[in-house]
Amino acid sequence: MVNGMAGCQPELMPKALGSVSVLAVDDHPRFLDAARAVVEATPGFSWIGGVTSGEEALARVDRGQPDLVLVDVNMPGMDGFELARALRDAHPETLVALISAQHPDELPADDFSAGEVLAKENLRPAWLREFWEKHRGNRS
Amino acid sequence: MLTLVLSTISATVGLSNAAAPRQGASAAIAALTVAALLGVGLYAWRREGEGRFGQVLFATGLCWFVASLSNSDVELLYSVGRVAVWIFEMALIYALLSYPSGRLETRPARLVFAAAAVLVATLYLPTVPFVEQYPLPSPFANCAAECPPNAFFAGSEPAVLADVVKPLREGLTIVLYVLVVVVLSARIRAAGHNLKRTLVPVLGAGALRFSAAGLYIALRRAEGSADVMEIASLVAQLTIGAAALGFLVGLLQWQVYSGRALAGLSTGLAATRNPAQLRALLAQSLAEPAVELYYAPPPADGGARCWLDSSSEECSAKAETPHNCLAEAEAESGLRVCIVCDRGFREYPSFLRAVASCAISGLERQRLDAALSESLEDVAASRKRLAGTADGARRKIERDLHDGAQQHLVALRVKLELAREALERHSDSGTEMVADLAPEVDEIIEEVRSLARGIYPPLLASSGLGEALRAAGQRSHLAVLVSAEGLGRFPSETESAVYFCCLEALQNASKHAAGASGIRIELRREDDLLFEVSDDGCGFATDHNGEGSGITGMRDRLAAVGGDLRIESSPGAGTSVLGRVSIA
Repeated sequence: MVNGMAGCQPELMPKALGSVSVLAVDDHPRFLDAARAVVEATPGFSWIGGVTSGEEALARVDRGQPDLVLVDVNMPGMDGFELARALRDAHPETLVALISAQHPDELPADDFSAGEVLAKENLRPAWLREFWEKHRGNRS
Repeated sequence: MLTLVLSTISATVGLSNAAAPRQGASAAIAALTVAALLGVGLYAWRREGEGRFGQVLFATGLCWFVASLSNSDVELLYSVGRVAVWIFEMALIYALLSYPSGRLETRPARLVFAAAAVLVATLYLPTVPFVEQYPLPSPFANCAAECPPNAFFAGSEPAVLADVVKPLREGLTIVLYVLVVVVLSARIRAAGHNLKRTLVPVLGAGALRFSAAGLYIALRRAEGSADVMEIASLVAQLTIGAAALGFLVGLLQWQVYSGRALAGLSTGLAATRNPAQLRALLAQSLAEPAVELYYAPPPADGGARCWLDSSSEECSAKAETPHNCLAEAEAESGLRVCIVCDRGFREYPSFLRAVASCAISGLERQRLDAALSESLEDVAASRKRLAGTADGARRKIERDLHDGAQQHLVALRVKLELAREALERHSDSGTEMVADLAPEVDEIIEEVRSLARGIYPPLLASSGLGEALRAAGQRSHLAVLVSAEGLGRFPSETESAVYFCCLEALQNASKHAAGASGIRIELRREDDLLFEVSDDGCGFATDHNGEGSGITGMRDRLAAVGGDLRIESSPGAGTSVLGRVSIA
């Protein structure tokens, strides 16, 4: 089963036991590389893959729930806010973190974000840990 | 001056006949009639279009001057005057029937005048040597009973004259006068309401005069009492004066009418926006509700002329009929106008020319206004497209920056932080990570460079069109040959417009000119800056209406710096994009 899934999605890796599994969604592959490097450099977190659209992300989460999804706000087609809402409705146990290359002040107002959008350049291991610690209580 | 002299002579002759009753009144009427006929005749003579009638009226006035000598008590003058009266009657009939053109236009008019001439030539003039006394009393002579004898009398008066000729000619004269009155009345009835105002004073006074003259002859034949004859004589004299004044009033009426019409037309012209409004203005100014307006736009490239009515509906060309009159004019552009109005206006060609020339200038102005607003709309549309293009270009730059350099820098910043953390931990991977960042920075530099070149190529600013296009050509996958010898430099907006047009043409050729072996860009400085981007590819069928936004954008760019663009291509024969920018 796991092999079969890996066969369909070769870039996605199985969730490591006991660690926080992270999926990243961004239409810029270059940033997915950077996100992967950050996740892999963070102890207790495991990278299960990166996808480039909201639709792909929904399909991936349906197949195997990650603990945390990093979602870029600006994406063609389904944007980050829409994806975040859809994930909250379908998988309330999955934690979503919104990220953006734009300054948070320049983002359109959305009740979902509630002012919590991370500037992409500030993505680093310490932030990942803090975010997870802050929200894990609500999820468990 | 001549008028003054002749009327003075006429008055003097009348006054000198001391024996005559009412000599003052007769002399005054005669002198005023001479003055009116000669004065109006001379005035009309000098006016374009009315010259012939002026001559007729002047000749009539001269006849009347000679006729007024019959007020004299000198035998010869009296006799000359009495004979001249007959000629004057004929001249007056001609003047009335030919008013206002000076020509006998209708068949009835010609017949009536011919009858008058035959009557005078057969039954009046040949009797001169055979009468001892001219018929008395006469409204032309102020001597009541003691008039001078006929100076041309040969010695014996045949009885046939008194028994046959005189009654016959008097009867025929009355018939002739009735015919004159009938013809004049018919003309008044037939005239359009505008021409009536100028015809009525002339023809009305003329009809009155001939009615009075006919009545006088009839009364004399019936041997009316002296009192009756005196009144009839006074009426006959006064109506001659009235007929003379009728010409003056008619002429003035026409002057007032034509002046008002042309003033109304020329003042209202600027406010007309279309041919229908112009027709309405013509109808109002000429007080001719039925006036029609037709026009033919300048024929395109030697094509057939197409006539339109005032509602701009296509129609056939108009021709003159017995019931109408045409006024036509043509502008330098080839635009033509044809105004169809009452046939009475035929008598006033100069007026018609003025009306048609007002109309053509109004139509020409309307045509130029329409052309101007069309080109202003083009300019506005072109400006809008340019603004849209500029906006689109800004959005593209923003997207390129966001998707390219910005994302790259963001990722770089994240990796830099990871490297810093690794170095802090003295991990070997930190050094590797820093080393990996160098090619990424190089990529970002090249990306920003390419973006800047797209906004404004640095080579264009520093070295001009030739160098910048050569550099652009080197980035093309086709061989590009640039020829720009001795081109020199131009204002930056000109160089930028030409550069981006050539670049667009170059990209089009690279994309679409299948089978092309190369592209040639040629730039020349003549009176204008000329450029040509040509390829030997597959070509296409040119269709100006169906050209893409890229070519419209090139046209707009060039138009903004006073240039234009032409595309020459056909399937299998390659494509040439030819541009020209004014550098004057």
